Amino acid sequence: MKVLARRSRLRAFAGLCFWAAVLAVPVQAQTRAEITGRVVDQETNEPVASAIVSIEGQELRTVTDSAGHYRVTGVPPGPQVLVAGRIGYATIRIPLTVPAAGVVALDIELATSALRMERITVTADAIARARGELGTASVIEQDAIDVYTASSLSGLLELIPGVELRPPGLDDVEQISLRTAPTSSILSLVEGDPSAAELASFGTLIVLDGVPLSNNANLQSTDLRGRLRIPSSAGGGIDLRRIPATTLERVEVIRGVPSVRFGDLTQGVIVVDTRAGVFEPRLEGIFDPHTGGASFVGGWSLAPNEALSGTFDLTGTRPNPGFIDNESVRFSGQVAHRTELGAAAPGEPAVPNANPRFRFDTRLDLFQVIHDIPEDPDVTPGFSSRNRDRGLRLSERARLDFSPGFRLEFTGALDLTLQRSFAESPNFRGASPFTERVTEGLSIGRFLAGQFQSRVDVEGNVWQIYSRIEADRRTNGPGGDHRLRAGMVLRREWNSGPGYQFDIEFPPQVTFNGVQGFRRPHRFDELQAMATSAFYLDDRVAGSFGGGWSYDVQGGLRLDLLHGSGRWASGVRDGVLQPRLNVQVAPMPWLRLRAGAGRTAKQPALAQLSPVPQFFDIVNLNWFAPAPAERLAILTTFIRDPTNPELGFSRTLKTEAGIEISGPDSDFSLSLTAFRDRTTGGAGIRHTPRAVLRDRYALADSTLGTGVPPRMLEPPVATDSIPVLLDIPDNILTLQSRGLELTARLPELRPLRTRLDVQGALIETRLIKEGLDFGTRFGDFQFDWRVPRAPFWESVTQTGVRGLLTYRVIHHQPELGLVITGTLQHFALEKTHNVAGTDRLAWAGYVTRGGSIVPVAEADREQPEFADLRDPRTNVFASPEEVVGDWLLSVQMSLDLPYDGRLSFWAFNALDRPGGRGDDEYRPRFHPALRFGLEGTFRLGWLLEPNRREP
Amino acid sequence: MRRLACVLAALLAPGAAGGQSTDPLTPLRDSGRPGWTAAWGPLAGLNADQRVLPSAPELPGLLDAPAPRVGQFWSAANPAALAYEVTGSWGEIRLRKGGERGTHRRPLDAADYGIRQFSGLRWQPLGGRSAVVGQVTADETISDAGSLSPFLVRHSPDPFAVTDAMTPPMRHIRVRAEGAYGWRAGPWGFGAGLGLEVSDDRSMETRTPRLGRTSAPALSFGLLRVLDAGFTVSAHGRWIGAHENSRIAVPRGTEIVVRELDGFGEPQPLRVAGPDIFGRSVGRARRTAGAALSGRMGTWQWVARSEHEDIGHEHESSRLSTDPPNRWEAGTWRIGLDVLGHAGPLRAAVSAVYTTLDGDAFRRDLVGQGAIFRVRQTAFLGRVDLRMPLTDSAWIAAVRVSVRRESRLRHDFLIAAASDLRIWHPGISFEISRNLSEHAALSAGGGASGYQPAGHVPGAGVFGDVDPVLVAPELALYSARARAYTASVAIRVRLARGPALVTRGRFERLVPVARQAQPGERRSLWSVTASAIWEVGGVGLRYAPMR
Repeated sequence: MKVLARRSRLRAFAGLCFWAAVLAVPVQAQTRAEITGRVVDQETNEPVASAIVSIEGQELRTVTDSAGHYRVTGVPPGPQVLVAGRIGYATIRIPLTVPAAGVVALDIELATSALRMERITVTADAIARARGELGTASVIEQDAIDVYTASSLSGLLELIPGVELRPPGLDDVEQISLRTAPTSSILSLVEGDPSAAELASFGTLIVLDGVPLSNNANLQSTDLRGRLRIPSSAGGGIDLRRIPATTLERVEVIRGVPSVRFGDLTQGVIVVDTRAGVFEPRLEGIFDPHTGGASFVGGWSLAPNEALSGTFDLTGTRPNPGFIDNESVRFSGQVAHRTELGAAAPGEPAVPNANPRFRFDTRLDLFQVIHDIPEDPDVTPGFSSRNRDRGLRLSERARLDFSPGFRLEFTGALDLTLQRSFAESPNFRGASPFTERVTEGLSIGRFLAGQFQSRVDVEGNVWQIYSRIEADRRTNGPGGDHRLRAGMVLRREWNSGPGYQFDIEFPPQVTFNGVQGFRRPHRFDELQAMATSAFYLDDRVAGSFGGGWSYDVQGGLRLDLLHGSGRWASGVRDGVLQPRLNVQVAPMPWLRLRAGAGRTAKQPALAQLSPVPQFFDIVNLNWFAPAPAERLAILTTFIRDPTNPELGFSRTLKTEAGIEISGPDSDFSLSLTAFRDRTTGGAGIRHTPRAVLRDRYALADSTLGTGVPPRMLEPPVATDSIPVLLDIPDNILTLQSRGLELTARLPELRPLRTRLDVQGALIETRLIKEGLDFGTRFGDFQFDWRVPRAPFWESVTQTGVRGLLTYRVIHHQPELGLVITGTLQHFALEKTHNVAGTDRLAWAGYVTRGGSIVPVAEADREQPEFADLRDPRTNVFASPEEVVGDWLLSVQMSLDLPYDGRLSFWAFNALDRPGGRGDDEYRPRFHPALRFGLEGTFRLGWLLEPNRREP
Repeated sequence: MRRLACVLAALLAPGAAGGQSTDPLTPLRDSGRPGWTAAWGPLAGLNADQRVLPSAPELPGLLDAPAPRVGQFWSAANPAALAYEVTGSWGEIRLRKGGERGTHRRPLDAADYGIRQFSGLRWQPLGGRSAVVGQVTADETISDAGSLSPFLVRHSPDPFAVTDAMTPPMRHIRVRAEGAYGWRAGPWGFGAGLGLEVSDDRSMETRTPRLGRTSAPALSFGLLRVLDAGFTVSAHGRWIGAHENSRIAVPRGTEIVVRELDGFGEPQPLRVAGPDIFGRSVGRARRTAGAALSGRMGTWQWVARSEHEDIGHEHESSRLSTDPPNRWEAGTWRIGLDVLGHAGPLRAAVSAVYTTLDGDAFRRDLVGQGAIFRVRQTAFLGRVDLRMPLTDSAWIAAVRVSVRRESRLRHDFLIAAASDLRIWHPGISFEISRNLSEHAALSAGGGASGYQPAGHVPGAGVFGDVDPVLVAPELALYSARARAYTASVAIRVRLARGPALVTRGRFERLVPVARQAQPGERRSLWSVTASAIWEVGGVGLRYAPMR
């Protein structure tokens, strides 16, 4: 096992000491209050029976009696959210401040539609918390999901600070990079490192119904130097298009320090819950000139304690119909079965959907995303690509409440995704020879000069087995109410696909041989599986000091282990201990001060842990006669393995501090958070020179016009050394972001029934690479045996700053069931800068023909002996670039229709603003063009239960 | 009697016009509702100045529309009057399918159109001191090959227009949403309205795709004061800012020819070889300020109104371009009087509006040299709507009479040519309905209008090579007499608990008269509309006394 960093242990110890100190503070015993009242129909004022009333984030639920009465006991003091709902009615969330003891009387009015409720939330709740979490989070509730038109999960994530608005649709791969600003890019001949956005996206954990989605074993890429593009998410996070927005119930985006229950992440966690249990069937359709789709969700009671639900979605997008035939189609379906047994507390009646003692959720998920870019002979002759991801997942979650204070939860899942990609494009190459050899040795090469068609098929079968067992204990102990959770996670991922296949005569590269090395066709099922295990212990304690102060502390320790040979029983290749702590103190009920710090870790991807061998085809002899029959080429193939046994986890230190202010009834709320995330050891490519020996041969007779190639004379006339670049995956990337996040919800102007929500983020991101850049002259070693050396440079640090403000004006008319939202997004600041030297003295040293790295001090670079190295750096633009500030406006309108229908109209970039013009100081900005559409929703509960309620 | 005789003479004359569509694409896209139900919208004036083909008069709509209303909101489009004038609730949803085809068309029009349309309208008082109204229209229009322009707005008074030689079939998808909110505080009323129209326009099955989109936001606001003497005075403002973008994608190995009209003269052909994208953008802004005075005289109520509007258009190669644009600057004045009342069982609504427009066009390469084109237009539109139940029976009858007098002077300074047209458009329509039972009713109606121009248009010699294709045929069409006829039947079934369901079928035909036209030249329009209507405490679907 790799030795854990001493600094890391010290920090963990310090965190634990702090936590212990907090717990040691004299505190008052936690007291409880009771909430009671009546639930009635908003229109008729009739009592609503069998409505479920609960406290969000707490295991406190009850059901109304026939007179609509409810009573929730044991409610902790402080800000809480009361949630009430019933089939046929919209779920209502009522924020309230609960006193330390006593009874809170609260009558609840349920409306048939969220649009008709007095209070509706159509943005992410700024001051909410993810369930069981204390770190900074944005929670997107059902109201907002219903009202906000989005084709997939990524569309909903526009409701959190710092995320750019995009038009709904499935146009291209969708990924999310939490707390990251776009950085500068470089035009490097030797590519392969992820961008800052890809690295951040790779480190953003998506948890769907309790099971992480993983992109770790996605190999659908065309290699580091591939000239073809496959519309795949390999190298980044999962493609969010696979998760339709319309089937979701709740989304929690934990941007701060997550609890230790979550692992394999660097940036944050997105917890996604789909609908399950008993709920009203609903049919939804979306139509715009580019996108059409329909979805159906519904949950039925099979027996008093059994429910079956289904969610299905079929959506297609043609980004430019009538012009280019690109198309993306998604099918997604889920069947969920829920069984609930017993009552949570002895003596309480067993009530369906409330307080079950044992709950078993079985889910079968299916999805398919097809992204097809067919050839258009008139516009893009010879170019085409397609990507097809098909997935199946079977998961089981069992929640076993053995006593009121003790719960055991088991989660298990088997996930298979079949990934099929194809890409082709015309390429042009010079008269360089090539060989098809797949073993080391000498061979006669062939010439294929001129235009050729590059083609590649990439076929992967990605598997994941995931299991987690967690014990959850609630006690009233020292320091207040404790919730102690301990768990273990086992995960195994592998790829069993046919792999990366192409015809050697039509390779997916232009210069497919040479000193930079390329892949030959290979199978994915030969790659070693990845196995990880994790253990964690988390405790959350809430209590109050004297004088009305209350606190909430969550701390824990997690150990992630990466096993060496794809099995859990094998040795440990790397391990990371991750302490995490979040503290919240509320001096007054309306004021909360928060801070958090902790370490997270992310395992490398399969492509990095098991890189495929690199083939170097070195030209020994190249006789290019005018007549093809008289040409001769001799090449030697070398195979090198870039595997790095030292490659391990990347580690992130997340820190944040914030303040939250919320007015009475949460009519006003403000949250301001400062954060700093620093990921070290991100997996990148360390380009490493290695020398190979080349024989050079002479020709016996090179007379032209003979009709046959000349003969090669042996033995070789000379042997020289040639450096080749081996692409070794290594923990060499550092990604750091810092910034401020603001969310504010201002009180409603009652006469206008209008309110303003503001979100803002100012984020600075730096991507630092530890390694060398060999520029463009490295390839000269092969072509000219007289070249003795070539310069190299330090790697470029890519930086970016973005200030993004989003204003949402929300007009709500409950009587009409009407919500109009105008969203103005202001790009206040956007700068990028490549931090690198580019002048003639910027080079840092040279590499010799023998592959040696020779650094040269800056002061010596002007010496005459280095004149051949003093070239300007050509692959990096180092001038700071700023994009002109601009804004765009999007509009959304939702209206209740008769018979439980709802119609939404949306217009992205409603004013069709093209962007900013730019000038000498600023680059122009280009907004996506206007898009608009309609969305219709029809709730079908009244059809299935005609006597339940008048339509 | 003499005036009545004049009107009757005009009606009987061969050629007349009554109804006016403001839709830039085709009258078919109008929602089929009476014009007054949409006149309040902030976007109502979006394309008000378009030169349109004559069409048949609007029908009273006895079964599927409320009786006409008059007021500062309904007539002067001041949202501040909303809370005073909306006392009942009305809601409707319409689904329409229709078609329009024929050889009687302008060069920039397509020959055939097919439409599928959804529209909704709702108004409702809120809590006694405020009221709200909103409407949404979404439609898909398929036009066949034929139009020589990639733009939607092709017949503005503005002389600048882009034409091309491709005539692909097009699909136009449009959504228009408008709403207004008004509230009252003592004698004061306040109101504001918002509107947005967006469209996506793209060709089908062509090697040189046309791609276009339009965004037109609008804002209106108003202030109202009820005076002691029974009068109400108000002021209002309105802003519309529209952008239309059009691109033609020219693939490799292809060349297109584009002509940019700037008046009556021949434009230089612009050849665009692929691969390339030819793009143009038009920005249109309208700023309106107006005032109105209303009062009552017995059972009659009246509204006098006046508006001034500044109009500006900018034609650019793209919205990110730094080149100076071609510009169109115009101003309009509009004064009107609307009266609504009843005498016994007769309910009468009378409207008279007089409009002037003066505009100049400036070309980007002739900046500083004055206008290249000038337009002077005046128009008078008078309408009378009469409806009454036939005594002690289930029959209701309605008649609408309209007359439009238009003067259109267009002067091209570049080629020293002018057109000067004076047009009469009288029209009459009627509808009669019968209640078949407590829940069912049937109606039938028809109408006719004439179009009678006088004046002159430039002679054939001034147009140059472009004459036979673009400008001259359009002018010839305007200077030719025509007639239009319409017929409609409707049936209404009121559900026991719920809405009234109305189905209406309508047919319209436009026939030129005494023109050098091809034999059989005509234009036909048909539509079938299914509506669901909810009404609470309103004036009534059918005849009802004025409140």
